[in-house]
Formats: sequence, structure tokens, C-alpha cells
Amino acid sequence: MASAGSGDEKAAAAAMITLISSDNEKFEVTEATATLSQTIRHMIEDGCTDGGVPLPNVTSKILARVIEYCKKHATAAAGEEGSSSSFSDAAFLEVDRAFLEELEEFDDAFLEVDRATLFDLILAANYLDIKGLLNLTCQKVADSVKGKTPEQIREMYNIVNDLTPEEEAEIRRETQWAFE
Amino acid sequence: MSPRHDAAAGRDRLSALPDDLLHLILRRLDAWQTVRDLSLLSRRWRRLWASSPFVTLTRSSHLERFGSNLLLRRDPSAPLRLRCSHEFRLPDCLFTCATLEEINLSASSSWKTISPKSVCLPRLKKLHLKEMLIDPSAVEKLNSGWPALEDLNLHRCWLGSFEVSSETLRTLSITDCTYTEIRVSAPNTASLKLTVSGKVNLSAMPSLVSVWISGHLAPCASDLVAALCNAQCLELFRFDLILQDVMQKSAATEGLSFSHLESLYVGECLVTDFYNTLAFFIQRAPNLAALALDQWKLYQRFNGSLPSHMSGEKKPTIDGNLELLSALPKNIEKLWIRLSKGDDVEEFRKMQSLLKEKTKPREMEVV
Repeated sequence: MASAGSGDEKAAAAAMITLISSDNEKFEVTEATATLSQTIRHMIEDGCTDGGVPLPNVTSKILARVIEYCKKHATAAAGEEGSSSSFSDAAFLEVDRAFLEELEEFDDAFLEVDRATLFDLILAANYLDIKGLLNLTCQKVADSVKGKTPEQIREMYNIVNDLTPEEEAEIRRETQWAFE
Repeated sequence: MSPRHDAAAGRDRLSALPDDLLHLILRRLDAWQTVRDLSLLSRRWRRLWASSPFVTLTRSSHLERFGSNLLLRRDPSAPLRLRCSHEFRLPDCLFTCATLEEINLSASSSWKTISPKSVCLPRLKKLHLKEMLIDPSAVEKLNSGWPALEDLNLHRCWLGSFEVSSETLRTLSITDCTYTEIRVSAPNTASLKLTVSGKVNLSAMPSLVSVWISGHLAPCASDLVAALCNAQCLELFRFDLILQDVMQKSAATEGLSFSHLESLYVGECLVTDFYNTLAFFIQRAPNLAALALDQWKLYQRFNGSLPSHMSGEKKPTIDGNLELLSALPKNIEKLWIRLSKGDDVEEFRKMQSLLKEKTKPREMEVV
């Protein structure tokens, strides 16, 4: 598709931003990639990204993954702008269906991580304000919980049941209306 | 996903998330599960359902009773964004809920009627309804009861004579609804989507950016075209019907200029029907940079044959419109054409080559 080429050109011409992880590793990314993060977008707008953007809440391991996500989705955004994007109608989106499917596959593969990484990604997405990544990771957790019993969920996520039998009975009374 | 690493670590990362992130997760679960099951996980989870700003109802059984109960029993000070994907009759208490920010009913509601006794929704920003019947008596109450509304979306609703009057509205979508008349006074609207199937009365929208209009049945839309003149992007479906009507009836289009218009999409027309719409805009839109002519869905919609009003009549041909095409702005950069096989190929070829010749687009795609 023609859009991919124009996206790359744009990316090459764009300014580079340096992101610095909590363990002091530096990552060079294009502005298009970095601005998927609203937090970084605001910093760029305020002109305080010279000398790099320190991200004390994000480790290099997680930041590398986040950048991987942003790169892929920034290409997607550029592709949309490149071709028929000003039109919202499905008739046009149809053309880009193959690309959307590829993006979906990327997202699925991206989420194949252990739970610790998943939670790190949620916190990083929240801190960096990357809506798509936050939605994606929260959906993954929600899907894993859907339809499970409290016991199954506790086991899955190491949740300690600190309710006394009295409290539990109280909660059951409190939510009795939902069982009627 | 394998849980082995966490199991070894033994930490409860889920409960350690801040409330707003847990709410984002709860939002994706049915309220049925968050109330009945998740409240029993631990103390941390006990009241999360009540403080969550998101209420998602996706289960159909006993929905009305469950939903009403939930709305009454949750923390009344928490903001409320209600989503429901099943038939749901909105309880009266919802229309006076001071913390209500969003309603999104995405399922068919079998024409359930909205006729609240009173409406007071100071924080309502977004209202999306599908297949609801809005009682005429509710229209005035709604308009005075949603002072902060930004996004109104009505799909397949029964509206009768409807009015939208709002200074705050940014996004308005009224599609496939049944109505006799719609009056819209929303000067800050940036995005408009409208199926014209009755009388439409739009007042000026100076902030308009993108517009999607589909013409259906007997249009009667005298102010419609004038209200669109500030748009940057127009998507028009079967617009020739509307245009015919407008041109016949009103002098309001005289002197009208679409100076901001950059991209124009014309869809669901026969090749020969493109001309009228094109002629209208080409004369009035000097800054047009992208043009798309698309027949997709035209034939699908009518099962391969055309409705009587579209076929049979004598149609204009390209030969009668040479002058028009030579008036095409020279700065069109993108041209996009998609044609169904069933239409007049000869006519289409002529138009295509002329368009290409006259506009010298940088990008051109023909499907």
C-alpha cells in the first residue's frame, strides 16, 4: 500500500526524541512514535525535551516493549493520514483492512507476556498516558477474570482473602439484591 | 499467558493497582460479576463496584431490576458512565442523576419510550441511544436538562418532531431515525452526521469540520446546504436527491462559498448522478484538494438492481458537462474513484480520463 512508504518518509524527516529509562538506558525514537504518549506530547509542546526525557517510573525492559508498541501504532496512524483518512466511512476503511488485521495480530502477540510484565505495562501505559496500550492491557486482565469464580480469581492473581466470615456474610447481605 | 512467574513471586499485583485502574478493568466486566463475585475477593474489592464510575450491563436476565437496583445502591457521589448492550428501559431516577456523565445503549431497545417526568443532568456529556422512542413531551425537558452535552448520537430512533438546542454540543449524529422534522441549533458543532429522511432545519455551524450526510426518501432541507458551508470534509451519500430539492426551492444557495472545503466524497450515485453534485461544489469550493467518487454499496443495497427513481430517467451525460469539468480546481491532489461493474462503463471511462486530464492529481486510484 502506498501509505506505508509515505509513513516512513515522514518518520525519517521527523525530529528524534531521547527517552531515558529508570535504569538510565537511552532510547532514540521519532517524535511520531513518542507522541503516542500524551505525557510526552505535552512535554514536547512545552519545549522541555532537550537533553532527553527521563522516565523514572519505567524500566528499560518495559520501556523497550512500550516503544515497540508505539512504533507499530505510529506507523498505523501515519498510514491513515497518508491515504484516505480524511474520510471516516467504512467504504474507505475497507481498503486498509489487511493492515488493521496485521495490527490486531501484532497486539495479540504483544500481549503474550507473563503477568508481572502485563502489570508493568499497565502502570507504564497509565503513567505515559498511552490510551490504546492502556485499553489493550486492561482488556487482557478483564478477559482473564471474566466468568471466573472468586476462588479462581484469587488463585490466579495471588489475592489473599482477608475477609472474616462475619464480613463475608455482611457482603452477601449487602449484595443480596443482585441475586434476587 | 503463563502465571508461573507471579505465582513464584506470590505478589498480588492486581489488588495493588490504584482504584482508577481497577475501575478501568471493571468497566470491561459485567456489573453482574463485579457486584456478586468480585465484592467477595477481599476487603480491597468489597466496594469497588459501588465507587466505579463505569456501569456496564451486558446480561439480559432480570436486567431492568438489576440495573435499577444497582443505580440506586451505588455510591451516589461517584461519576456515572452507563453502558448497556441489552434492551434496557432507562429508569426515571437516571434522568435526575447529578453525576451522570455518559449513557451508551448499544443494543436494540425495541422502541422503549423515553418520557421522563423531569430531566436534570448537569454533567451529562455523552448520550448514545439506539432504537428508542423519544416522547414529544420530553424534547424540551431534555434540551433544558443537559446543559453540558457534547456528544449526541441517535441511531434508528423514533423522534417525531425533534429539536436539539445546545451551545456545548460538538458531535451530533442522527442516523437512520424516523422523524417528521428536526431542528438543530448547535453553533459549536464540529462533527455532524445526519440521515435526511424528513424536514431538516439547521442553523449556522461556523465551527464545522467534518460532515456526513445521507439522503433518503423525500428530502426537505432548505437550510441544510447553507449550514454546511464551513466544513473542511464532506461525505455525501445520494446527495443528488437533496441537491435537486435544494436547487429547486431555495435561493439560499446563491453566493454560497465552501472556502474551507478540502475533501469531498460523493457516494452511492450512478456515474451520471455525480455531475450535479460535482457541479455544485466545484463552482463553490476553490480549495478542494481531495475528491472521491464511490459507488460501493449502491448496488449491494438494492440487491443488484436499481430503485426506480435512479434508473429509467434520462440522465445527463459527460458530453453535456464538459464545461463543468474544465472548471475543476487545478490543485486537486488526490482523486479516488470506485465503480460497480453494473453501471455505464463507457460513461465512466470518459469521465475518468477527463478528470485525470483536467486535475492532474498527484495520487489517483481507480478501483
